[in-house]
Amino acid sequence: MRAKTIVTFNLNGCEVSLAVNAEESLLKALRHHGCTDLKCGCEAGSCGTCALLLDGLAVKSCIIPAASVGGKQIWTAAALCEYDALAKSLAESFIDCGAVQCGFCTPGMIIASYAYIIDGGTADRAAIRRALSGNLCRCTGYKKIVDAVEKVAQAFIHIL
Amino acid sequence: MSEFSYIKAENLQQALELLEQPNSIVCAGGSVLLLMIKEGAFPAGGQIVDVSGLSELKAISIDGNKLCIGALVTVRELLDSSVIAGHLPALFDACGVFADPLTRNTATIGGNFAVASPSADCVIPLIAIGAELELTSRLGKRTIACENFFCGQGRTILNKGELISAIITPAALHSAFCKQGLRKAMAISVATAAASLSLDAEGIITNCRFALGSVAPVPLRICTIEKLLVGHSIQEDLLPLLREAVSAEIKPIDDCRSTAEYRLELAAVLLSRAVVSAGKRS
Repeated sequence: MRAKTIVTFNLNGCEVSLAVNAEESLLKALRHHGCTDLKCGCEAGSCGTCALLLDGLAVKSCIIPAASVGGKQIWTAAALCEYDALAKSLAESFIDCGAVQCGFCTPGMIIASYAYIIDGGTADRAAIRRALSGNLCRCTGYKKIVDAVEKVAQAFIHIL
Repeated sequence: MSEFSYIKAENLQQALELLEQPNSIVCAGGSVLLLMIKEGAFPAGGQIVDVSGLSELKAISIDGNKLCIGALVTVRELLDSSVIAGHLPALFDACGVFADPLTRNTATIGGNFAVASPSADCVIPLIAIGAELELTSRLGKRTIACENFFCGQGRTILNKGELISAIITPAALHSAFCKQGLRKAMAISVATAAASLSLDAEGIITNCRFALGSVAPVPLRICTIEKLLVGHSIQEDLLPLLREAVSAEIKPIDDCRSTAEYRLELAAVLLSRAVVSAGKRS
């Protein structure tokens, strides 16, 4: 048995230090810490419900060792939607378009959609589907999720 | 309490020292590491050596007619690189269908080699392109042709204390990669094919290299088929020739994704499409 690793990072705007096992995923460590907006779906890097922003990049937290994020900045979906205008408009659009049924895929979908638009993604339904191709939904059939993202992408003005 | 310990290497020298320990487990992007630990791939007591901070392994550079891709370059970074798009179109093709956009943000090209799956999407085009791997240890560096790196399913010739440091490759302007999976993303391939061609002014193949994925225990280069195509024109329908040659050379298996019979047909079709795409590039 080995000692835990202490890892210090910025979580949703606050500095935190967590004691984690070497083999513990970022997903589990953050959920234990209280970030239950991160969902545990497949725990194998496939379904995308655990997605968050790590130093601005959308990643699947179930395959990232918690010990490896020292010094980095993490945003999870709920906090992002509270503090970021684009994320908030995505959340509202998801609700308006009926893109939330059970809601389990939604945090991951918001993160992936957010990253798509921030990276310059446009209201192109095929491109939106490709951007969300790492996020599985068992309820909606995806159309309403694509509608929601398309609506925000159309409205979002890229300021150069 | 942990079954494992974790250390982040501060520099290459420290990483190489740590990786000499018999219980060391290298971690770059970590795309499959935690899953492998959960599946019991490593005995308890191992030390995870995180090499993701080694900035000297993160560059893409050109030196004369050779490109050097650091092993820690992510698939996303390869896609964002105009150097890769312009000089290695087959690799660029593969990165675009690699897993999904989120996985691409953390998966490294070195990791795709180290995991040594016969389906490894970044490996297949690099074998066709004629790339080499640079392996670094405290004893120095050595290079090996990509196709010679694998010795079995999930197994490589990497020694303890060695780290994949870079991929060194010529440019390959007439190259292409084709993948078929059971879905358009997050798919382990049913089969993949890559082709890299040298053409004369009339479009006759003067030299070619091919690689196939998911049809053998290792990523496969097929020299016998390469010899067959020299002298043929890219305007010809090469599928009948390839169909016969491929079925003589490969012995794919039935598995949860597909059958041997389908893979035989698919491999020939994908190879023919890769040759056509490679030929059309300029």
